Amino acid sequence: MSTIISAKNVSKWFGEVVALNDLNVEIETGVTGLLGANGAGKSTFIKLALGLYRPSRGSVTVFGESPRNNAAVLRRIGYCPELDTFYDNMTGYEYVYWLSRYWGMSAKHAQVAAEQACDRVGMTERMDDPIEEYSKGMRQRIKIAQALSTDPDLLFLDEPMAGLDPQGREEMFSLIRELGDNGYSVVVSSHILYEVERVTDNVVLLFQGSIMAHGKVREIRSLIDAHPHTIHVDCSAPRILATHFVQDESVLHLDFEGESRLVIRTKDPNACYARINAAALEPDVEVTRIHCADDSLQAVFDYLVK
Amino acid sequence: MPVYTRSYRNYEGTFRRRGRWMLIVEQELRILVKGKIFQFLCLGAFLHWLLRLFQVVAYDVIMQDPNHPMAAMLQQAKFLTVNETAFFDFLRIQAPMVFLICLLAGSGMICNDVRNNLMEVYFSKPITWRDYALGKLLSLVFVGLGFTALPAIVLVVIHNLLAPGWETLTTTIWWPVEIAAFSLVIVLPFALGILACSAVMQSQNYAGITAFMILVANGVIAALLAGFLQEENYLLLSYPMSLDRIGQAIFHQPNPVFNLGWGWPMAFVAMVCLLCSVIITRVVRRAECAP
Amino acid sequence: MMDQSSHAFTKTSILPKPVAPSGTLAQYIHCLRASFGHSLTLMLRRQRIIFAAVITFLPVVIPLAIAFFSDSQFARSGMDVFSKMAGEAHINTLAPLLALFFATMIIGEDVESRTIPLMLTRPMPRSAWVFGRFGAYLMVSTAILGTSMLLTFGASTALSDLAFDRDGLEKLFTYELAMLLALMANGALALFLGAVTKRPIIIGLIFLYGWQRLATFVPGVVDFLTIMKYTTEMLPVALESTNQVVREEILEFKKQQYLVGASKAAITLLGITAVLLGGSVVVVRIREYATDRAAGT
Repeated sequence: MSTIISAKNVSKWFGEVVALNDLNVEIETGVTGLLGANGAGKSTFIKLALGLYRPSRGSVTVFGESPRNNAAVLRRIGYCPELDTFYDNMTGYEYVYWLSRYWGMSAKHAQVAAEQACDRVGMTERMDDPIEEYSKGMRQRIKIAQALSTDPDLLFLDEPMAGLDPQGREEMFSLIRELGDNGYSVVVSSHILYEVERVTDNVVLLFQGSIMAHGKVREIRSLIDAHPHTIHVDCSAPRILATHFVQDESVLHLDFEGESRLVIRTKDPNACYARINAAALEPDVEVTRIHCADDSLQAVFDYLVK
Repeated sequence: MPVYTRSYRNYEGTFRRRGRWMLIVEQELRILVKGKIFQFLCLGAFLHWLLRLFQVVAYDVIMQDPNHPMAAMLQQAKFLTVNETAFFDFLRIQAPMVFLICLLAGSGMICNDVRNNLMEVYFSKPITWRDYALGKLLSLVFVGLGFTALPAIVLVVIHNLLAPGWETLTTTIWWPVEIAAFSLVIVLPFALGILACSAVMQSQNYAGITAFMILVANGVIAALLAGFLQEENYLLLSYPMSLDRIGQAIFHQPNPVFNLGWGWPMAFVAMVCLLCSVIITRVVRRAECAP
Repeated sequence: MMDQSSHAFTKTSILPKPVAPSGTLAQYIHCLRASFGHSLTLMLRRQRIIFAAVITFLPVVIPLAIAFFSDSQFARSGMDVFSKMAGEAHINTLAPLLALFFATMIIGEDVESRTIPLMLTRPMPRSAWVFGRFGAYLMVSTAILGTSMLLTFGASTALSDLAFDRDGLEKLFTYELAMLLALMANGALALFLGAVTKRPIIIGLIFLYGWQRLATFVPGVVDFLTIMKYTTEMLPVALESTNQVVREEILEFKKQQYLVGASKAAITLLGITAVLLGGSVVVVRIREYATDRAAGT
C-alpha cells in the first residue's frame, strides 16, 4: 500500500465559514470511505484533492504532486460529482464522449471509450437518449461512466448512492468493490455508515471540518459499542417493563418520561432489545414504539465529540 | 394544550385567501436587495435624484427672493425650471436604470425557478398560477416604481413645501397622477417583457441578453427606417420612442417630431404587454398543470 | 515531495487503457479541437441561435424597404446605405450584442449549469479550453453576422451607386474585416466578464451600451477606453463622411476628436483581444469556480 492523497495541515475557509480545519490525513491505495454528516467537509476535501480549490493553509498532494492545474495528476483521476451536472440537449453517450475528448483522446478512441464505459454501467440501451429523459439512477450511472471512461487510477465518487433505488445501490456497491479488487483507488463520500461499510473497511470520519477518526470500520463500531446507548420505549406500563432491567448489569440507568415512556441507558443494546421483545409478550405491557437515538452516524460523531 | 394522536400536525391557522402574491413579492425583494449590483444601481439612481433635489431646492429658494443675485440667471436657464418638463426628463433618464434593474431582478425569476424545480414547490403550496405570476410581476413593478414614481412624487412634495402659498399646489395637483401614470407606462411593459423572456429562456443570462437584444434591434431598425425613408413617424416603431411619445402626451409636452398622436404608441405598448402576458401565462400555467 | 513514479499501480483495467497523444503540442491541439468541437456542437443545437440569427438578419430588410417603399429611393446611394448599416448596425450594435449573447456564456454557461468542475478536472491546458471555445464563438458569430452583412450589401445593390464590382467588393471586405475585429474584441471582453463575474450580462450592458455611448460625449481622450472608438476608426465612412463644417462644429461644441487611423485601430483591437483572452485564461487558472462552496452557506 502506498499513499496517494496526502493532506498536511490543510485548512479551507470561505469567508467566515471554515470548511476544513487543520486537516492531516494520508489516504492509501484501495477503497476509502469518506464519512461525515452534511457540512462536515467531505466535498470540500474532494475538491481540494481534485485541485478545484486551493487550500487556504497547508498543502494537498495527490500522487505526490499538487493537483491544481496539474495535467499529469488530473490525467490519472476520475470524478463523479454529487450534483447533476449535464449539458442541455445532449445524449448520455455524447456526454461521456465529449468529456473523454477533453481528457485528450482522439475522436475515434473517445467513441470506443464512451461506448464501453456506458456498457460497463449498463447504459448501452439508453445511451443515445437525451439526458433530460433519464431517471435519477440513470443520471448517476452516466456520471460514473464519464468518470470511468478514462480508466483513472484514482476515482472520486461524491455521494454516488444518492437517489439510487435498492437494485441500483447493489450494482453500485458491486462496481466499487470490483474496482477495488482490480487495484483501482476509490474515494467514496457518504453520510451513511451502512453504505460505506458495504464497499470498504477503511474510513475517514470527518466532523465539522476536522478528522474525527481514521481507520477500520470495526474499530469505530467497537467505539460505539463501548459507549452506552439510549433506548426509548413507549408502552402501556413502563414501570412493569422496568422490572425486567433492574437485575441487568449492562443497564446503567432507567428513567421515566411521563406515564408511558421508559428510557434505558445500556452498554449492551442487543441484550436490551432481546429483553424488550420478551417483555412485550406479556399481556400487561403493550409496547407501541421502540426508538434508539444512537443508531445514526450523527450519534457516532456525538460520542467522538464528547 | 391539544393532545395529538398522530406524529404530525396539520396546519391549524387559517389559510390566507387574498394577497398570497405578497409572499412572492416579499421573497423576491428580499433576494434582490442583497445583490451588490442592485445596490450599485440604486446608488446611481439615487445620485440622479439628489441632483434633481438640488435643482428643486435651489429653484424654489432662489425664485422666492427676487433680489437674489442668481434669480435673473435662473430665469434664463429654462432647463432648471421646476415644471412638468423637469419631471418628464427625470423619468426619462430613470428609464434605462429601471430597465437594468428589471433585467437584473427579473431575468432569472421564472427560468431559475424552472431550473431548480421550484415551480413544483410553489404549486404544491396553496399558491395558484395567478398568485405566482402576479407576485413576480408586482415585485418588479414595485421596484421599478420605487425608482421612478416614488422619488418623483417626493420631489413634487418637497417643491410644494418650499414654495410659498397655495398657488404651487393648485398648479401641481395633477403632477403626481401624471408621474404615476408615466412611471407605470415605463415599468409595466419592461417588467412584463423581461418576465416573458425569463419564461421562454432556460438561463438567466440568456433571458437578460434576449430582452436587451430585442430592445436594441427594435431601436436600431426604427431609427434606420426613419432615417432612410425620411419619415420620422417610423421612429415610433422603436419601443423607447413610443414610451417617450406617451410621456409627452401625459406631461403635455410639445411634440416637434411626430405627426401621430399618442394612440398608436399606446396601442403598441398595450400589444407588447398583452403578448408578454400571454407568454408568461402559458409557461406558468403549463408548470402548474404539469403531471 | 514524493516522486510520482513511486505511485505506480498494479491495476487490472476493467476498461481499455485510454490513449492520449504523445507530445505537448499534440496534446494541446487535441484539447483545443475538443473544446472547439464541443462548444460548436452546443451552440448549433440550441434554438437560441435561430433567435440570434433573426435579430442579426433584420438589417437586410432595410435596403430592400428603401428600394421598394421610399419615394426618394434614387436620392439614396446604395453605398451610403450599406456603409451606415454596416457601421452602425452590424459593427457597433450587433457585434457587441452577439458577443454578449454567445461569448459571455463561454465560461458562464459552465458555471451556471455546474459543469465547470468537470471541465476543470480534465487534464487539459486551461488556455486550450478557453481558446477552443472562443474559436467556436468566433466562427458562429462571424458566420451569422458576416452573412447578414453580405446580404445587406447585396440588398443595397438594388439602390444606385453600389454593385458587385471591384470597388464594391473591396468596400465589403473592409467592413467584413472590421466586423471580424469587432467580434473578436467585444467577444474577448464578454468572455473575460463571463470568467470574472456571475452576472456578466448586466456588467457587459453597462460597459458596451452605457459607458461606450457616454464616452463619445465626454471631452478629451476618454473614448480611447472603449472598443467602439477603434471599430469606428476602422470604417472608411468615419473619415469620409464627416465634412469640414461638421468637424469644426464638433470641435467647437462637443469635444476634441482624436483620430488614430485604421491600421492602428486594427492593431489596438487585436491587442485588446489578446490581453482580454490572456486575462481570461489567468482568471480561469486562479479562480475557484466550484459552486457549492461550503455546506450551509
